[in-house]
Amino acid sequence: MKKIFKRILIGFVVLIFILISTIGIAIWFVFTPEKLTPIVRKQAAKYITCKSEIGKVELTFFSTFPQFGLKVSKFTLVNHFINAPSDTLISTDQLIGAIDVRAWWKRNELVLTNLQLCNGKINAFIDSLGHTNFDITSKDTIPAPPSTTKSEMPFRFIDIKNVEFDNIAFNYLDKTQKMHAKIDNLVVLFNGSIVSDTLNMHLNVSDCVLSFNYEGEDYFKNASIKLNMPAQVILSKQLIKLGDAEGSINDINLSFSGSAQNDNINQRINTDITYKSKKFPVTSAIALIPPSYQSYVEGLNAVGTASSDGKITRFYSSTKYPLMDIHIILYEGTIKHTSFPLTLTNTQGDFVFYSDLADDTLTYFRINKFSANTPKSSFSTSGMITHLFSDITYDLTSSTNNLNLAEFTPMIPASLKMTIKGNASGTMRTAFSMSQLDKMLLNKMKFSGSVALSNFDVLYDSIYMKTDYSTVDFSLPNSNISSKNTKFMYSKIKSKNLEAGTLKSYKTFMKDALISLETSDVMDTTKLPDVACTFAVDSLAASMDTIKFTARKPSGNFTMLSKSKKDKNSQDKIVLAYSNDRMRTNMGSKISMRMNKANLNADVVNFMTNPAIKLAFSGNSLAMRMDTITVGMDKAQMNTEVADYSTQPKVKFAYSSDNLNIQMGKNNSVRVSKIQMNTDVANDTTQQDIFLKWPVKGFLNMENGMISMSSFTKPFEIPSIKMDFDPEVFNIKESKLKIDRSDFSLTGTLKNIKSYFKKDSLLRGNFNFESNQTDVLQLMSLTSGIGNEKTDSIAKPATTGTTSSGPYMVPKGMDVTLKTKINKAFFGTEIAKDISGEVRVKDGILVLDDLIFTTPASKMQLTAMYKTPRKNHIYAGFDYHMLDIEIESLLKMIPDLDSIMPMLRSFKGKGEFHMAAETYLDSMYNPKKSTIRGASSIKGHDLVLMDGETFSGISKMLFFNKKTENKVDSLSAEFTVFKQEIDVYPFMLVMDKYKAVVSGRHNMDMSFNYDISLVQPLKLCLNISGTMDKMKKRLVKCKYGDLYRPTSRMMVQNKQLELRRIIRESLLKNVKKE
Amino acid sequence: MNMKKYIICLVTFLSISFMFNSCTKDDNFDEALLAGKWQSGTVFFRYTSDGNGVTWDTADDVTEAEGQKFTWTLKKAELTQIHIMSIGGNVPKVYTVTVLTATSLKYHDSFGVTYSFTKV
Repeated sequence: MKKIFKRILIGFVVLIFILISTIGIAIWFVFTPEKLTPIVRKQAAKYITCKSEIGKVELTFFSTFPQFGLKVSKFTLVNHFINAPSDTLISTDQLIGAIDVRAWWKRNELVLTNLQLCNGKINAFIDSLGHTNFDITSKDTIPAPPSTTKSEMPFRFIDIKNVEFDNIAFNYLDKTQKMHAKIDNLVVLFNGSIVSDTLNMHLNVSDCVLSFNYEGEDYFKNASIKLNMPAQVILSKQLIKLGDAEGSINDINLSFSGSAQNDNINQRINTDITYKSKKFPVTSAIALIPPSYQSYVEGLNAVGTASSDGKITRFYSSTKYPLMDIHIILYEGTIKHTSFPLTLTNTQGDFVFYSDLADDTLTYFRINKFSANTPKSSFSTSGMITHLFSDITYDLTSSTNNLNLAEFTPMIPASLKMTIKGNASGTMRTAFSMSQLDKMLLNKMKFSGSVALSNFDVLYDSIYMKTDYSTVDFSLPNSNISSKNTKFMYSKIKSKNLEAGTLKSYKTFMKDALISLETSDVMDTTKLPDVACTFAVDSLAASMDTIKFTARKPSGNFTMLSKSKKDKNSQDKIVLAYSNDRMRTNMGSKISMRMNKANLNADVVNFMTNPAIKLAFSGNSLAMRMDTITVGMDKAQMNTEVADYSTQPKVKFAYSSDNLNIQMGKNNSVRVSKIQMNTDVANDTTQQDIFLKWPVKGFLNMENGMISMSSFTKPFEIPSIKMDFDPEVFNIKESKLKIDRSDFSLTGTLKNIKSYFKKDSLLRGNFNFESNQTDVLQLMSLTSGIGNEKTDSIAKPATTGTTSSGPYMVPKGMDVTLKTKINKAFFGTEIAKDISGEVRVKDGILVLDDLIFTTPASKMQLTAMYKTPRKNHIYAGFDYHMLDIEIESLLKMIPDLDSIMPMLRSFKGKGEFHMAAETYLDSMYNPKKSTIRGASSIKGHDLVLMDGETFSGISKMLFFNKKTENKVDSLSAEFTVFKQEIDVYPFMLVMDKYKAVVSGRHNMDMSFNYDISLVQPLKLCLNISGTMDKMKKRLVKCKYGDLYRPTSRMMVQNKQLELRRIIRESLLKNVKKE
Repeated sequence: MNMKKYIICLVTFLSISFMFNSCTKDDNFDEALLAGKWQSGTVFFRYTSDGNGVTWDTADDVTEAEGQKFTWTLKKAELTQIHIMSIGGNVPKVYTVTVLTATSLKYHDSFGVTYSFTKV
């Protein structure tokens, strides 16, 4: 075996030697450069139209092993072309190539191997008209017949192996496309074969420096490019199918595959390329951004690594770009931007850019994830950015575990004067377009999220807000709709401690607050926003200047709805329901209010145009204080309804409470155990006076009231009052009052109240006044002065230096009648019983009309009149009728009577007494003497004449029998008072057998002048004059001796009787028959 | 003095007195002259021709409008004024006129009190 192998090996070596020798002889001796060079030059000139320079052509075997090839040195093609940057088309130091001649000869196959270009340059140029400098082959002079069949390759098979460019500079300038590509240091290896019209190739660019300019834009500038690309090219379809290609641009390594096809019909390139990069520096990628797009990253300093994969599909044409689906992953990086004061570290991202750079609806930039840290904060974002070529639209969801807000303070414009501190965490979704943001179209934007604020402190100018911990949930538009009208926004704030206010005055503090708010579009300036708010706070404190307010557990809800533009029947509406457990407010140190458990419900309709208001308030243990006035009440309830507010407001007000307690100063107070009041108020816009402008009707029900006033020493007790009232009429159904010793019930009607205030009519009242006992003077002092003018225009000031409050002034402008029924009445120290009659007050006149009452002295009938036209001119008049009175008691009752008829002192017994008198008084109640008028009639029977000193003197002068009994059978006398004169008209005294006529005058200075005419048993007349201390008695001619003898009466005597008749009849006219 | 002498003396005196009083002066005054306003110090009277009048005293801070009413009659020399009280009741006063001219009025009452007025 060894020999066989040895022989075979020897044979093989010999064969190799012979072969090498043959090749050597052929190369060095047969096909020498001197023989080959002219042949090649000749053939080149035949096929190439431009100037060619071929240095030396030699046959080579070992360079193109196992094929024989040609090696051309100093090969140059020069083609002078206008505007071309260079006349040199191709220039290379060495060109080596081998063609399989046998394959070409026998099988019509072009097998090109080991084509090598070294140290050369290629300048390709296409001018603006499409003329190229590389169209250097000679054209056929005979036009080819029109092709009716499918074009065919000149070779059945083309095989290109090991085409290698080494250090080639390639310059390509296409003025039709405004494209300039420049490749330096190109080292490339190309293998390929064409079968039929399919080229299977492998391109390996191991190194080159690429610059590429398109339409003036440098897309690559000295980029280091490497490429290893297997591909299949179907020439007829101008389709290239990429195998698993790899390449790099600078230090960005890519692998890619797919296909690209030149679509001549549609004048476009169809692409379907998938790529994937390895990690690359972000700075390298940013450096690839064309200059015209560098502005987008101006100020950006990004460091880190990233990778990308994606697809480029669809087609590229002069008007269209292919569809790019680019996925970018950002690994650990650091980003800094001049507009952002913070450096973002540990940035990580995952993005997708999907676009054909033309179709805005198709394009998007999706952030699958982006997270970053600032020195004290961290955050992450994901979402979509669409409409990149028109109205950029963001839909991003951002979240943070810890956002240190103070870090972001430098981002706030200094003009805002705003500082912010604290931490925030939470999630927020934002969806809006730039145009919406510019125009602040909040109704089209979407914001939602949940943010937790801790140790939050924000100051905007002088407004601040602080919270130790709060959560804010918000949604715009409202995702938690409770009403179809509040779709715009929803917010829920939950705070442990929240403080807000202004630095100088306003301050609010809330603890454990829960506030939710829904609104309609707040940016709609054509209407007020609809609002729905609910709140529940554990404690609330607010202050503004000197006003302070605190509340425990305030809670409620507030709804405000505006009128719908679509629904004409809709109305503006505010609904409020509020309650708190304990509330206290005060304004300075003098005004305060506090209450326990309070509820307030408000319902306001049409508040923008013609509000209709309903308010319902209930509160317990309400206490208010204003200076020295305090008001307290339990179980207070107030209901108010207001309608037609803007035209003619109508108000319904209902109030009730227990234990109402009003204190004004130390001595004025009102206490009511139960009060209920309902009122209707209808505004009268034609009136000016406030009482007339707001006439009130309704009813009042009050129980167990007590009113104390400093001006009145005794309190008013009001066991009960029930009354209806309207602007014109007060109808007192029941009223019981107690004032010290007086107690009474008053029922009846007071009319013309409105007219009274309008001064159209008297105030008319008709009341039943029933009382067990009444202190008349006390009641009079209560009503003194109502309706009177404050000054007396005529009167001179009354005695100065007194503390008198002036006389009792009868109310004016009213006509009030009291039908009295009083069991016991006190007039100072006097007591009257069983009083019945009318007390009437009419426009400054007080009339006691036919009052019948019983005094210890007698049963009386009294008509009295008291008028107060002015303070210093007061009328007092009375008409007294005492039908069965002890004269002694009469004098006690009317002491002044003793001055008028001193002889009455001398009588004892019962009589009949009628008296009318009047006078005007000054403001101190001093009678104006010039105005005193009076008339009296007295009649008595069986009177006992007291044995006084005066009577003794008189009886002695008139020769009365000493044994005569001092008994007067009858007495009938009239006297008048005029100014200071008291005239006693002649009257007859009958005693036993004596008859005497007495007449005379008594003066207020206590001087007198009396005539006593004894007419039986003899005529004897005595005149008594002077004073009681200095009395003159003398016998005189009888004046009235025949007074009671009609036949003998003289004219004077008749006159006197006539006058007596006038006096008596005028007096008796008023006596009421029982 | 016994009773008889006493009676004779009394009758004598009475006869003398009747002699002196039987011829009374019978003056007539024109009541038209009374109409008008009369003043005596601070006291005023206004008589109106329909028989009514008012009186007032400015010393008591009373004006004419506030004056008190009366009715009057003048028969020969007898001037009767019936003062009317608002409360009811009348106060008659009778005077004897001694002078009544266009400017002067004088009268007296039965107690010898005289009043003198001038017209204003």
